Amino acid sequence: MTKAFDFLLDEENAKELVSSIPYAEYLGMRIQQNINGEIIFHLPFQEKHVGNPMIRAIHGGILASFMECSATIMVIGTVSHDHLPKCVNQTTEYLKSAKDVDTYARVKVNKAGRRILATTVSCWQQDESVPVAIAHLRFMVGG
Amino acid sequence: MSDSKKNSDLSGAADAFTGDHPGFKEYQFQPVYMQECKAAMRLPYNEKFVGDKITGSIHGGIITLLMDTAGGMCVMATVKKMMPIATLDLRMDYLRPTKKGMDITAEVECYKLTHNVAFVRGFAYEGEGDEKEAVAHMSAAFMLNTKGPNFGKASRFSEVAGGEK
Repeated sequence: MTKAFDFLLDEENAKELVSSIPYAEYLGMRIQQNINGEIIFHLPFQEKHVGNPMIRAIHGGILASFMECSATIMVIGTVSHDHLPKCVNQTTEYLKSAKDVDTYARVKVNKAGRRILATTVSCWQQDESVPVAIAHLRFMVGG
Repeated sequence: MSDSKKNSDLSGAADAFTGDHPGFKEYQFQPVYMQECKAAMRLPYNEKFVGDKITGSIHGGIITLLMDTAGGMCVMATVKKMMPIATLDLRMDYLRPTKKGMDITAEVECYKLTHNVAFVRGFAYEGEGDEKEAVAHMSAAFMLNTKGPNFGKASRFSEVAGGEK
């Protein structure tokens, strides 16, 4: 599993991958690695992410978008394929309101089948042990 | 129902979902109508929101964003006032990829309202009239009266019509 991720850990590859999805680039997300060499997705805060201006919380749809883009990129890094993976469906659970600060996400590929990949994305802000949202996404790969 | 009738239901309420809102101005969401238990919102096609460069298809994430927003608008149309709400959970089924250059319209309904939770579902459509085709399905639950200040001014809702059944 870890070997496929070397591709994502290369800064050039990561940048190219993000820019290959216009919407991921629009969100302004980045791919990073933490001190353990694990892949972490980073969404630097931008004013356009605000959903509720009164409490300056990030819009739930932006979080869902960020998690979907993160999972898509992780799926690309996990399997070799000729087509962009297609998201079949997703469920997002919102655990607490996301403040106007940077957001991070970690993707876990629960099962990499021949046609379907099941992933779980956990998203946090200051503290990884206090997630703001968790999403489950299913992707169709190949053809 | 004619479009003009639908638009008259918007009144001042839609301001909170467009107008001075930093995000929604950016995404160019356009409220289409707001009635009792129902709401619709349109997303004009935009190159920035493309998910697949080859086909020009819109990314699922922006459809989720549209559906979440339309869901929130629908909840407020149902309780007939502005109140702080929060999405508890949201499920999206992507039925088929969208076509290049096509606007997306989210049509949502609130099918159950309890003291604390509003249950919402809806479809995202592409095209109009006979060409209208569903591209995604959404179902979500919203928590009502969450802590924090109100999303917008209550007066904005004074003009919302009772809605046609």
